[in-house]
Amino acid sequence: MVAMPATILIVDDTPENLSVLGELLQPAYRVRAANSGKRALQIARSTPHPDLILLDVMMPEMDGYDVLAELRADPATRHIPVVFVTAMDGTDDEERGLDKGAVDYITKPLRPAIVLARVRTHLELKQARDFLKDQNAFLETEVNRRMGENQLIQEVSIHALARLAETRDPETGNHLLRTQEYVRALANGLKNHPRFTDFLDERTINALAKSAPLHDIGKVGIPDHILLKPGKLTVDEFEIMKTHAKLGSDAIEQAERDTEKAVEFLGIAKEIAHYHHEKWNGSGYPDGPHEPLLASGQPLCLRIQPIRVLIYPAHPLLMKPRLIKPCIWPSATSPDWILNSV
Amino acid sequence: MHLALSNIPGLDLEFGLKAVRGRMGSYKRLLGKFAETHSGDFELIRKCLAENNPDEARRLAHSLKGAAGSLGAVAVQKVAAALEIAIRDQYAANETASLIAQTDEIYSNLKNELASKLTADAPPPQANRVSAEQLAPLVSQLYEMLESCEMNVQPLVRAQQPALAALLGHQLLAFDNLVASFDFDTALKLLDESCSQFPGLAAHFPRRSFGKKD
Repeated sequence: MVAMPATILIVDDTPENLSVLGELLQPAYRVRAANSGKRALQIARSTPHPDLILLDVMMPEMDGYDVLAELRADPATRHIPVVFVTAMDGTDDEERGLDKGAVDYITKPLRPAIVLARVRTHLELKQARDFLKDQNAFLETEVNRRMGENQLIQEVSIHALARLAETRDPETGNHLLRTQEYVRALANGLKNHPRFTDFLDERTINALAKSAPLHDIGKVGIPDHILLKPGKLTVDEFEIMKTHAKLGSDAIEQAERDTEKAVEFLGIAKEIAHYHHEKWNGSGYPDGPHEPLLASGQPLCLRIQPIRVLIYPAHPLLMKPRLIKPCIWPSATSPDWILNSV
Repeated sequence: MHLALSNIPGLDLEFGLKAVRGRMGSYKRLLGKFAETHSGDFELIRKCLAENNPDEARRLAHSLKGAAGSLGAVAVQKVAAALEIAIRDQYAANETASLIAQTDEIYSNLKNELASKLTADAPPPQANRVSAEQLAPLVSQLYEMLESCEMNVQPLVRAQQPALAALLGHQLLAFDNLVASFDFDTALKLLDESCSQFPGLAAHFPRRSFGKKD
């Protein structure tokens, strides 16, 4: 798994012990040897950090427990596994060492096969831990990347659908993007309003803006001679034109039914398509005429999308006669007035 | 050589050799070190006990036990273990004193046996004539390895004896011993000292203070 041989730090105040242990390990590993606890800490803290530390317990000045405690206290050395090398006869020291965070212990006099087996085991464990750590970091980035890709697919699909609807009834350039940003601006402006604050969190605002371009998707179902008629529509023709709201919401509802679980933005898109010609005074369609909608408890989009309608006359690019929707509100372009009205 | 060492009482040759993966050269070198470095331990233990410092006395006995155990010096290991317990459990002074004497005797016997069996040290290496430019790469490597306590500095020092003799002069043996006994910090100081005295060498290591500053 690693190209470089692992580095093992051995710590003992007795040179003979360092020699024997070091010569045992050296053919397979890179060995660094410290003859005191203090020196061991210096080496452990320098990079590259050792992969494993074999630590003698009984040493003058700073004993093995002190060294272990300092290694554990330093974030840079906390994760280096420490194996105690103990010549003591009681098991107390071993237990104490394990208690303080040593991963294992080996007893002196050392038996080469046992030392090598333990060292190999703990190096493999460390490599597995390091690999998992790397793997987790990798997976996190991968999940983010795929989520981002998903988001993008969603947005592109919505736009493709909306553009398809638009080809039948070309409005000005960037109409879709503009609608999106109007809705977002309005929703952001309203998010602290007591009546909206519960609904309009970041996520819902995003879903609203994303779904807004789908409001006219039902126009795909309106015959050309009505949709593209240059003059004024007859009463009958207008009745057919009005069905685009319901056609759109029905199509999205069908799509919703085809999915296995509820998709948040589809629910919002459906409401926008359905209600985008409703008016607060109850005179819109397809559900109107009915009571004025100013009372709370109406679907949220019913409140947002009519506000969008107010923006149309105010936009200079939209001053093409047939595109100006009848403005039903006096002085409708003042944001303060809008806020006071909801 | 194998046969010679196999007849030493109190030495478990098979165990000791296994500990160094059967390499006789390493084993002889370590035994030689062991026979040299603990002669002063017994006086120190007596002194610590007299100065009411049983913890340090116990640690010395403990270290001797550990070192002996590592190399298969089982007789020393056994008596040192008994001594460690005597100090830990505060045996009567005469009992402890007797154990110290026993340990000293067994260690000295082993030392004498080893002295007659281990070949004498090779003659001191002949110092080559080398320039600062030739020494600089080796010295740079030594600094790096000693500072990071790389154990591989030991074979490097053994392999570079002629060049090091030119650099360190009469300090070579002291340096070799420091490196062999893992006292890398003191070895660094000695290296600094010799570098600063070798004409033109210090200039190759502008970042080292050579003990002049602070």
